[in-house]
Amino acid sequence: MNQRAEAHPSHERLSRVWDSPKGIWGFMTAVNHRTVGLRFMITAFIFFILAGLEAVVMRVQLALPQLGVVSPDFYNQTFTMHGSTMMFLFVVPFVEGLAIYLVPLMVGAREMAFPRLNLFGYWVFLIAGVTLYVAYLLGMAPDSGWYNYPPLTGPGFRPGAGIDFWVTMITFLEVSALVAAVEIIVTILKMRAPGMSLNRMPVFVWTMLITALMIVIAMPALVLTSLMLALDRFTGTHFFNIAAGGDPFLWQHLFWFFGHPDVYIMLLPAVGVVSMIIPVFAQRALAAYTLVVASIVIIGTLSFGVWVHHMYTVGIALVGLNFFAAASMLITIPSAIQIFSWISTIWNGSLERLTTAMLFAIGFIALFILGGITGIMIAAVPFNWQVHDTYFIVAHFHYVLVGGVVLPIFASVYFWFPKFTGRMLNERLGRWHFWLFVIGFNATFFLMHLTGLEGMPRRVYTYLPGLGWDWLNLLSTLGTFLMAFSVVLFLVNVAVSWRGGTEAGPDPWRGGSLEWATTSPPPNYNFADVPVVRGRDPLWESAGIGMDTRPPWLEELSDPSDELRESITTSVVSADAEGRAVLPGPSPWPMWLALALSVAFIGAMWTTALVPVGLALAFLALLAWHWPAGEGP
Amino acid sequence: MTPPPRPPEHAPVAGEHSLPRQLTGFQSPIVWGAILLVVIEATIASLFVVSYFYLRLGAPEWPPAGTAPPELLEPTVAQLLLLLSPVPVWVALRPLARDRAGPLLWALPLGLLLAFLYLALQVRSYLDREDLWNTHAYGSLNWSMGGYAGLHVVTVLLAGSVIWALAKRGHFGARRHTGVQALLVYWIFVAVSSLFFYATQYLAPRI
Ligand code: HEM
Ligand SMILES: [Cu+2]
Repeated sequence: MNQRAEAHPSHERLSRVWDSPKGIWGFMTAVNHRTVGLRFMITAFIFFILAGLEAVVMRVQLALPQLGVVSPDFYNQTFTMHGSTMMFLFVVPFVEGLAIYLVPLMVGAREMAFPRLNLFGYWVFLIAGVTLYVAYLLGMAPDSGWYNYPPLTGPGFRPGAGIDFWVTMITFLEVSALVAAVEIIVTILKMRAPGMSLNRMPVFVWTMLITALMIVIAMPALVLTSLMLALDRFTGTHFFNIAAGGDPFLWQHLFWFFGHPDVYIMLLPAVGVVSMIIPVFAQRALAAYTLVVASIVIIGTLSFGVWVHHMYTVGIALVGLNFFAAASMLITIPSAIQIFSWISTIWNGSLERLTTAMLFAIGFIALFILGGITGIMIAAVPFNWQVHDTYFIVAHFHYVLVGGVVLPIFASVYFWFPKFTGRMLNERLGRWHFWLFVIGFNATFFLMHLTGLEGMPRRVYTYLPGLGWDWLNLLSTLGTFLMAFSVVLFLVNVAVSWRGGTEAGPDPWRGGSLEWATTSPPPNYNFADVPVVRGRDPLWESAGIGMDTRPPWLEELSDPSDELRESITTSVVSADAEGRAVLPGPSPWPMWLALALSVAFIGAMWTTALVPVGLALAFLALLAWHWPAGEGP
Repeated sequence: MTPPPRPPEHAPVAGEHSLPRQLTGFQSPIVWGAILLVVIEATIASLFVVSYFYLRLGAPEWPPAGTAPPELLEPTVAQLLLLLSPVPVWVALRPLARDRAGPLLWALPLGLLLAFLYLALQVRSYLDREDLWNTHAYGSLNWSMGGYAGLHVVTVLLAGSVIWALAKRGHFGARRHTGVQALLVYWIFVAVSSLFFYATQYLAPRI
C-alpha cells in the first residue's frame, strides 16, 4: 500500500474531483474534512493561547498580595473568559477538529458523511468565539464564572451585556459541537472500510464514537438551560426567579448534567490519543483492547449519574449525596483498567523509543493519576465541604484538564504533525517543551493544593499579606511563566518545522492504523483504492490490508469517470460493503446559514424581533443549500 | 512488527458485484443523521418535561393560586390532528418504494394541512390564556413548551412544502426517497414529542 499517491492510475482524476477552491473563496467554501479539521484545530489553538495569556494576567495579579495590576471587574471578566474559552472554545473544538481530520483516515474513508455540515460547524464556532472576544475587548465580557450561576446572572443582579453574550454565544457554540458530533457518529457507523468490524476499530475511533454520543446526550441540557436564562433575561420569564415560582437550582442541575459528562467529553479523546501512541512506541499491540473499549463505554454511561457531586454544598439531603458520592468513586474502576492497560503495554513492550509524543503520553498518565486521586478526595462529602470553592479545587481540575487533556493534545500534535504536514517536528525542542511545561505545571498547580488547604478562596482578585499564602502564590506565578515559555518553544517548533522539518514519509513511526497507509499529507481523496481491512492493526499484520482480487466495486470507486465524490458505505457492526455514498463538494451556503443564524443569536441581545428575521434567513440559506438535490444535509 | 499475524475471523467483503448509489433506510447515512437529530431534540424535550416537574415539585400550589387549569378540549383536538398528520406520508412511502410517486403528491398536502390545523388551534388557545410567560414560572413553562412545539411544527411545514415542490418536479422515486424518509422520521418525532408536552401541560395540572 505504502506507494506514492501519484503512482496510482486514477490519481489525477481523483484529485481533480476532490479539489478544493483556493484563497478567500476556498476559505469560505471548501468542505474537505482535512481542510476543515485542520482549521478547527488551528483556530482552537489560537483560543488556547488567548486563554493562556489570560491565565498569565491572573497569575501576575496574584503574584503578590494587594497588587493592582488589573481592576477587580477586569479580573472577574478574565477568569470567566479563561474558563469559558478553555472549556468551550479550546478543548472540545480542538478534539473535534482532530477527529474530523483523523477519523476518516483511520477508518479508510475519503470524507465525512456530511461534508457541508462540517463547514457549517466551523463557521458557527468561529463566529461565536470571535463575538465573545469582541465583547472582551470592549470590556463587556461575561464576568460570573464559567458556569454562570443564576441568580447572580439573572436580569435582576446582572443587567448589562456581559451575561447576554455568554448565554447567546455559548448556546450558539453548542450548535457547532452538536453538528460535529452527529457527523462523527454517522461517519464512524456507516463509512468504515470493508472488514473494519466494530471489534477492529482503532481505540481513538472508539473514544470519538462514545464522546460524540455523549455530546449528543449532554449538550442539549446546556442548550436548554442557557436558552431558559436567555428568555429570563430577554423576555421576562421566571425559570430561575425564586420570587415567581422559578428555582436557581434548576440551572445547577441542568448545567452539571451537561458539565460533568463534559469532563469526560474532553477526557475520553485523550484516552484514545494515548491508546494510539503508546502501542506504536512500545512496539506492541494495546493490552486488553476489549477491556479498554468496555471501560470507555462504562465511563461514558456512568458519567451521566454523578453530576450532583458539584452541588454537595447546596443543601441536598445527605442520602442523595451518598448515592452520588458512591457513583463518583465507582468511575475510578474503569479508569484504572485503562491505566493498567497502558502500563502493561509498555511493560511488555519496550521503552526504547521515548519520543516527545511518548513523553507527553507518559506524562499524561502520571498527572492524570494525581488529578484522579484528588478527585476521589473531593468526591467524599465532608472533605468536599472543607475545600469547596478554594484553590484546592482549582488545583484538582487543572490536574485533570491540563494533565489529562492538554498533555495528550500536545502528544497528538507531535504524533500526527508528520501526517498533517509531511514534516517532522524537532525532537530536541520537543523535549525542552515537555520538561519545561511539566515542571512549570507542577510548580503552578501542585502548590495550589496547599494554597487551597490554607484556605485561599478561588475567584478573588487579591488577598491580604500574612495569611501564609504569599510564597505559594509567588511560586505559582513563576511556574506559569515557565509553562508559557515552553508553549512559545512549541510554537517556534511548529512554525519552523512546517516548512523546514525533515521529510516524514508516509509512516515515520511505523504505525498500525490506516492513516499511516497513505502519503503525508494524504492526497485530497485520502485513498485511491478502498482499503480492505483484515485485522485490528492492519499495517502490522501480514496480509492485514487489501484483498486478493479486484471486485467491480473496487474499480468503480477508484475510477471517478462520472466526476462525483464517492466513498464506500458499510454495515454498522461488521462493516460489509453496502453502497457508495455520493458526497457534495464546495458550497458557500454553510457560511451563509451560520451568518443567518448569528443574526438571530447576536440580534437577540438587542431585540428579540431579530430572532424570527434570522430564522427566516436561515430557512432561505438551507433552501439554497439543498436545492436542487434536496437530499437532506 | 511484534504482533503475530492473526487469521481473519471474518471474510470482510460483500460479493463480487457492484455497489448501489441510492441507499435507503438504515443503509443511508442521511437517515442516521435524521435519527441523531431526533435524539438531540428528544433530549431537549425530555429535559423540558423534567424541568417542568422539578419546578412543580418545589411549588406550594400548581397551577399557582388564582390560575385556572388550562382549557382541555381544543388542545386535545389539536393534539389528535398532529398525531394523525404524519400518517398519510407514511402510507405513501410504500408505493413510492415501488416507484409510484403519485400518492405522495396528495398525501403530503393532506398531512401538512393537519399539522397546520394543529398550529392554528394552538395559536388560538394560547391567545386566550390568562397566564402569560412573564407572570409566573408556570406560565414561562407553558409558553416556552408551546413555542418549542410550535416552532417544530413550523419546521415540518416548511420542510414538507419543499419536499412537496421537489416531488412535483418528479424528484422522488423507488431509487431516490431518503429525503422523504428523513422528513418522516422527523415528523413522527415532532408529533410524538408534543404528546408528552400535551400530557405535561394539560393533563398533569388536573391530577
Ligand atoms: C496552562 C496554564 C493554566 C493556568 C496558569 C491557569 C490558571 C488558572 C487560574 C489562576 C484560575 C483561577 C482563577 C480564580 O479562581 O480566580 C483558573 C481557573 C480556571 N481554569 Fe485555568 N489555567 C490554565 C490552564 C487551563 C486549562 C487548560 C483549562 C481547561 C481545559 C483551564 C480551565 C479553567 C477553568 C474552567 C477555570 C475556572 C474558571 C472559573 O472560576 O469560572 N485552565 N485557571
Ligand atoms: Cu464532575
